[in-house]
This record gives sequence, C-alpha cells and structure tokens, in this order.
Amino acid sequence: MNEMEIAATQFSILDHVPVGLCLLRQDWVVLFWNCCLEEWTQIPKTEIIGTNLCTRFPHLYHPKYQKRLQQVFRGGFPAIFSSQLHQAIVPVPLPNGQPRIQQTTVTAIPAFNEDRGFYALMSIQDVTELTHRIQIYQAEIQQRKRTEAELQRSNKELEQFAYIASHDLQEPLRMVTSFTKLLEQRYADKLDSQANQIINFAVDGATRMQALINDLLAYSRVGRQGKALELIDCEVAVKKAIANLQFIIQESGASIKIDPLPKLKADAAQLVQLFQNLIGNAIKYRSQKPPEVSVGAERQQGEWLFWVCDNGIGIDPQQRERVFLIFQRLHSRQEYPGTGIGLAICKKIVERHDGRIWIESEVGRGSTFYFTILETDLI
Amino acid sequence: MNSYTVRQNPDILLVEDNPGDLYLISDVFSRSSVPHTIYSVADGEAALAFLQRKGEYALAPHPHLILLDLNLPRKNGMEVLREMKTSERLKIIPVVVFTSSREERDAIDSYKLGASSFVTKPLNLAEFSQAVQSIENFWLKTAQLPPIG
Repeated sequence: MNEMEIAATQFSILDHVPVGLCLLRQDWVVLFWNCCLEEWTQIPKTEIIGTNLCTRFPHLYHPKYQKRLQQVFRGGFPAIFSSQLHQAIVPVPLPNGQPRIQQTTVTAIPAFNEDRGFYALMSIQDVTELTHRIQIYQAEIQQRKRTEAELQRSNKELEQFAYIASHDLQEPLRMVTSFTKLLEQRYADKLDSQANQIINFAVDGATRMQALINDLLAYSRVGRQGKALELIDCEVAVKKAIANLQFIIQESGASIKIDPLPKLKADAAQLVQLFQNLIGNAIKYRSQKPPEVSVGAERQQGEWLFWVCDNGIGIDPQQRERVFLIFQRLHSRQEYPGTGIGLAICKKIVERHDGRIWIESEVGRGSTFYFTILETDLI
Repeated sequence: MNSYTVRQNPDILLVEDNPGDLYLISDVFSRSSVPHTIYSVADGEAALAFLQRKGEYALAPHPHLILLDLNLPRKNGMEVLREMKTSERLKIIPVVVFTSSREERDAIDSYKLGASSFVTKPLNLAEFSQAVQSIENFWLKTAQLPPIG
C-alpha cells in the first residue's frame, strides 16, 4: 500500500466529520482530503490527493507558512493558525462569497514510514458564526460597560448635586425664616393683623421649603454616606426603629408584633431607617382603630422577603407606584403633615441592597409593604 | 506656681461670611452679662491675617475664643484650623466650629484638627439663638479661657 492508500484506510472514519481535514507529507503533497474539504473547496479528493497543496494555494509558499510547517514536519511541534492573525491556509469562501473565518490547528503525527519524521494533519474549523456571535457579544458588553459607567457617573453627580444644591439653598432660606421671624418678634405690636398674616405666609412657605431641602439632603445621603454591608440582626434593627418611634407609638396606642427575623448582610443604620419609615408610616396613616403593625420575614430563593403590615387607612391601588416617588403625597398637609420623602428613601435603601419594594393595599383595609433583600454569601 | 486670674473683657473673633448670621450671633452676645469685645472677619484668609497680625490687622488683639464657620471664601474653616494648630501661640485658642454643615465627616475632621466643639447652626431662629446663648454661657461664664496677652 502506498501512503495515500494507508491514509485513506486509517482516516476513513474522519471522512465525514464537520471539520476540514487534510494530511500533508513533508513535501506538501496531500495524502488525505476529507469530504468536508471537498464540499467547502469544491475540489474532489481524486483531483488533489497526490499533488502539492502549494500549487493549488500559492500563498502557502510564503516563508511564514513554510517555516511553521517545517517545525511540524521536523520537530513534531503543533501549530495554530488563528483567524485573527493569519490568512486561512485553505481559503474557502462561504456560499454568499464572504470569506469563511477559519481556525486551523496543525498536529504532527508520525509518518507512516517511521524514520521519515512527521506528517502534518491540518484540522480546519469554520468559526465564522462563532466569531460573529463573539463580536456581537463583545460589542454588547462594551456598550453595557459604557452605559453602566455613565449611569454610575450620573448617579454620583446627581447625589453630589442634590447635596450641594440642598446645602447651599438652605443658607439663604434660613436667613429668610430667621429675619421674618425676627421682624414678627420685634415689630408685631407696630404692625396690623394683615401684616402679621403676610409674615405668617412667608414664614410658613420658607419653613416648608426648609423641610423639603432637608429631606432632599437625607435622600442624597442614602447613596453618599452608605456604609459597607455587614452581618446584622434584623430583630435588633427593628427594635432600634421602634425605640426611635417610642413617642408616636405611645401616643397612638399602637401594638407592634415582631416575628422572628433573620441575620443578614446589610447597612445597619439604613435598615433601621427603613423599618422606622415603614413602621412610622403604618402608625401615621392609621384608621379610627388603634394601630396594629406586624413585621415578619420569610426566606425565598436567594433572598429574604420582609413585610410590614398594618390595619390603617390603606392606599388606592392606582397610587401604588406613585407613593415611592420623591415628594409625592396622597393627602393634603392639613390631613397628614410631611413632605413625602419617607417611602422614596425606603426605595433607595432597598435598591442599594439589590432588593425590590412594593405595596399591597386597598382603601380602608390596611396596607402591607413588602421588600426583599438579597441573601449574599456570608462566608 | 502661677495663679490663674479670670480674664476680664475677653476678645472674641467671629469668622463668618454671612452678615445675617453675624447679626444674629452678635445680637445674642450683646445681651451677655460678661463684658467682652467682638471682632469679625468674613473669610479664612482674613482670619489667619487677623491671628497672625498681618497687613491691616497689625494691631489686632489676640482673641481668647474663636467662632469659626466652615464654608468660607478664599480659605475654608478646616484650612484655618489646620494652620492654627501649627502655631504654638495659636493652638491654645479654643475654636468653636459653628457651621450649617450637618455632615458627620465635617464634625470628625474638625475634632481631629483640634476644634473645641462642633455646633451645627439650627434652622429655626429660636433654636439658633439658644445655641449661641449656650456657647456664650459656657465659654464666657463656665469655662476658663486661655491666658492670652
């Protein structure tokens, strides 16, 4: 048997793999050419086996191919011709005329006649689709990275802006309130009742604006002054929140039931604030009945679900989204005082812990606030 | 041993760029039962020039107490504190930081730089006056001021 016949027998099993396979002798004569290559190149085996590959594909005379293949033939070292760095060894266009992106791995296998060094087995893989997909993914990753960086930057800027704006606005406003107040204190007896009413409107407006600015500051602080997450006991956090609410709890005669709560990784001060805002709201928006609030938690897939449930006035389901927006209020200031920052701060705290917050409620039937906190690996 | 005599008529330096606050602070101090003299400058650079008796402040007295705002033109309050603490003569003067800042960071930094206390200016007029009143009460009546010049 000559070398071509040996190759045909030994490699027959590889004839139908979807990888182009070509076995080369040291003199670049083709010993084996599988069906896949036949199909890609439209060159039948009968035509190419026994001929020099370089005469078919003259670019292979280039020293870089000659040198690399010599290393395979003589030394038995493998070689890889990646699509990014090399022109394809056997260029094969796609049916649409576009070049096929190929990765060629050249493996040395001992020559059939043992003292004659190595043959080169070229496996040619079509990576066109894979490459395109990778390019698309890479472009997508780049785009996402840019968007993420941009988002982080703009969030930071916004927080910084909120801080500076609120701090710097606070100053002139304090002058307005202080000096209208001083005017009232020192000249009340020299002014008529209408003048006093005018002063009251000015003081009231400035005081309200002070509250808004203060709340804006508090809101911007959630992102700016957040501490690193550490293992904390949620029961301790709720107890602290309740201690801070002692006055309104006693005044309203509220009863608060706390189910067992987990220990998890969170920002301790922010979690206290979160519970304090939610429990505080539950009591503030109470119905005629004495307020009953229950706090509980349940483990779910990869996160903890918490709830703060009350028997208060409830919320119109249509307003469920709006209550979490900054400075959005559902009641007049006469009915319930406040600027409408509490739940916006809650939302920001929960989101800082990779969680979600939502509400289930009906008017007159109480509300339940739910939020989740991601269960991070404690190790 | 040197005996300590309570200082008569202490000099107080207000470093404050807001004329409104200057008015409110002076107003409270003016009702103090302890005789004292108030000087004021409106920025950090002027404060240091006053303390180091430079330029137009060549004849300035050495104050026994300083009320220092943080947010000041040219040089901020922290810079003033930092420079004061490098001078043997100036580092003994008690400095009350009196600022609109509510930032924990500012309080920490002030104390690190040797401030005697950190007081946030209350937003409401009555509380503001109360705060100034308690500063006046503590520093002019309760505390011993440093024996300066």
